[in-house]
Amino acid sequence: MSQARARRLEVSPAALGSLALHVAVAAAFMISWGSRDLKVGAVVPVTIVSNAPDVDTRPAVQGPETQEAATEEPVAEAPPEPAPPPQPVPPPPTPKAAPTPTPKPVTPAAKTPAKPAPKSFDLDALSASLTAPARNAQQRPSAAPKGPSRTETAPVARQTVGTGLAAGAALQGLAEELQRRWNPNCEVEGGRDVVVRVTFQLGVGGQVVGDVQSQIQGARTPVSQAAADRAVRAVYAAAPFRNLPREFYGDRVAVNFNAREACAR
Amino acid sequence: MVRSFTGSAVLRLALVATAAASLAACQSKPKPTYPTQAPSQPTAPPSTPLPPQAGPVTGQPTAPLPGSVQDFVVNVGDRVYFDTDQHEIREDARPLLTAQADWLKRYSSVVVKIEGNADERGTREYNLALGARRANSVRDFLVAQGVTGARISTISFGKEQPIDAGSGEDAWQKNRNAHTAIVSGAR
Amino acid sequence: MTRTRVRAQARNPLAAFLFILLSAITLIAALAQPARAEIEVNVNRGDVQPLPIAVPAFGGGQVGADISGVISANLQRSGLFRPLDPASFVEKGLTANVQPRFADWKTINAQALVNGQVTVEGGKLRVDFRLWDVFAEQQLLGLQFTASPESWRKVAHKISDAVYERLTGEKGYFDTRVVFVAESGSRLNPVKRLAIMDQDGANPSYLTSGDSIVMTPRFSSNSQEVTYMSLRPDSSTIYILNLETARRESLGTFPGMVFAPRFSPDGGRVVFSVERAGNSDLYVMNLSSRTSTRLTTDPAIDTSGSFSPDGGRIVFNSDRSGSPQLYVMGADGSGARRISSGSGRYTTPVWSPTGEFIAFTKQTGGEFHIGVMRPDGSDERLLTSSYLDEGPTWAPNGRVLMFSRETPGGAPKLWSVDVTGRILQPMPYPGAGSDPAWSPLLN
Repeated sequence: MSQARARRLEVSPAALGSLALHVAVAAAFMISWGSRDLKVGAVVPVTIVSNAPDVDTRPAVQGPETQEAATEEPVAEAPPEPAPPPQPVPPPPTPKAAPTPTPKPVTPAAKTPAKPAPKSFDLDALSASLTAPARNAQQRPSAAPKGPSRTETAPVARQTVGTGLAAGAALQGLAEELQRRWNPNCEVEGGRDVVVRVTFQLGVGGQVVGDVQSQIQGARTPVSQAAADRAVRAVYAAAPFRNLPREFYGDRVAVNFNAREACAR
Repeated sequence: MVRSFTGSAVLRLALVATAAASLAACQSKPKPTYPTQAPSQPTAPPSTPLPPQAGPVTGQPTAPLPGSVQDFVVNVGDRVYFDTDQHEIREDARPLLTAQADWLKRYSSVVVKIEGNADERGTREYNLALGARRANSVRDFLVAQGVTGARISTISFGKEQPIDAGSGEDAWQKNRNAHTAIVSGAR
Repeated sequence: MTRTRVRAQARNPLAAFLFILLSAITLIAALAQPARAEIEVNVNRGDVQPLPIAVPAFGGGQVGADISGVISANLQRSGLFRPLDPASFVEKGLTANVQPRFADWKTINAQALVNGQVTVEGGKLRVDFRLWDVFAEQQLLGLQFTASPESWRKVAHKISDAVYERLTGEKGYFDTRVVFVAESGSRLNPVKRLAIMDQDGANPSYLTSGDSIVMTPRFSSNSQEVTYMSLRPDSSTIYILNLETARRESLGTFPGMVFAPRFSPDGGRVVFSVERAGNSDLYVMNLSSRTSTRLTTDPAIDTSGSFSPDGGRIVFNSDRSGSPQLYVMGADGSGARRISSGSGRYTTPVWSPTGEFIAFTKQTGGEFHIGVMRPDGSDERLLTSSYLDEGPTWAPNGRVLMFSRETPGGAPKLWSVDVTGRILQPMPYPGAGSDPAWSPLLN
């Protein structure tokens, strides 16, 4: 009997070790789950430094991209032109020369000027402002970084693998970048009411992998469809998203573009 | 009032004409054209080529022929003025319109057209309607004074035919008017 | 050791049970963990500005460059687009049949790209164009038009409408015409002629000789007919002019002034004003039966009627309350109800083609304004202010208004403003003009 007890005592360290290992693994799983569920906005407030002039044109790398063959699209023929209005009066007038549209660029009242958009882009000035070597125009740019890193303006640039603080700040930077690239149409009737949810997957290096999906909150009208296009365009334009904590890469991102708020300003 | 073309009527007309002519001959210079007692009824310097208003007042060697358009324009007055947005006949317009009525009753074959006008401080269609009201106010007045309604037609030009091209109350008050135009029947 | 362990397991059912239980828990925990987390981001601000768009010259010589010029001008004038300077374009010589080098266009931040090609085939113009989403790197539109060579402007307008609609969701208004009163002469001796032009001021031509004053023209819904009032020294007449046949017919003779004609949306009726003994009222005429019905009977001025898009109601201008205000009644004259509520004089109401607004002229404080309100009178907004703004007309998409503006002592000019009031600019037509009326979209 004592032998059995001794034996029981003998094996219990192994069993204990096994037990401890199981507990540790289970606990590790649970801990990491909790820290992933992070919503931007519920994060430590970080002061946003003003955005640098926008020169970043890194295109998003898409997953399996089917190159569209430049085929002729189905035609929409204009019907035969109705005759120009006949003049019941014999002397035709002298049309007052070729009418030049008076170029008075009417700028709408500045809402939230995230950046003062320059009127035209001078490539020399553009390249002068770059700190990195000039970008080359490739059809399929790689994920290699080009141009100045966005971290110069990101409020917090940390490469550390996610504490909640750094992750939240990096996501704030992501939101800022989308904000800069999103051009909502506040002028059309109904444009101010559109809320669009755009989802995509982050690849290694922060680029967009695969399709970008959009979901319109509310009725699907031509106006809301056009607004969804603009939201999707913002994602493509803002990608790749740098300086996100590593564990975000591979995640799905859902962006809620709220025109109601954006147009209210 | 039906007038029959009798010999007595012709005689009366000739007598009146002679009397008027002799009266005119007695005068050394023509009477002033516009009643000047009301400052709110300005003497409009004729600035348009419209025939009834053309011609300076002074310096006419001979008096207008009685019963002629000139006579009407020069000796009676062919335009009355209105307040902003109003179509009622002003107090200071009454004597002139009464004189018009008298003249029209005297020269009973004359047919007139009342043209209503408005200033530019209104939109096109509403001002056309306003001019029509003004023309009609003048017509009502004349009819009430005994002129046959059938001799008076009305039309509105709204703000389309200003007589003063300026912009300011001076011009606008001149453009708020009703013009009595002789259509036919005058000498 | 193994032997010991096996024997321990055999001998220790509690340990065995715990071992299995823990394994199970671990397994469940592992499975319950989602494969990928979803990150939520809220974007509540944007860069609100006209959409930067690139419209390089279409291939095919001068006409190609002309077409893209008209498209750029249309989009720019709408206020919703900012055509980029062609001098900044990196990729040159882009034709319609080749995919653009998107990176070149991203460099200049063009969000959209319109390119095309013009070819002449059998005496006809064939225009191919494509609209690209630069950042998403995909084609949004691709269309081909065939037209006679002298209709190249119409093709440019149709392309402008297609691009506008695809990128905003709203219908465009570029393939339209405007009828208006062209003025010349002096203020005291004006010559007024009915005229028509493209909405960008091109192709102006006269429709009347200038013998008589013409006023307040309006298009019919099929845009083939125009109604207007002709004012002669002795009479006023409402005409319906057929633009294709040049045939002109009178609405009839009436005992007093007739004015302010407007077509119903189905083109079957005309609402107009008739004056009797100084009193102006609204009438409606059925054009096929040629019978007129009186709609208002009070002694006030009732004029400037305008049908709702469904033809069931009429908004008009009446001073029955003492000053000119806006009223809405049934198209049969029933149930007139005042909708204007501010202080000031309201005239020239026009119902928007989409039914959402009624535009009007308002006079207050010595100034004139173009304004809009909802059909129930709410949400009144003044869009312009000047010495003399009057007579708005709606573009067919219900978003842009054209009106006439006059400075003291000056000649009237045509201006446009959008329904937010932010995009206010003179029309490209260089001459003096008033009383504009916008056509529907041409087919």
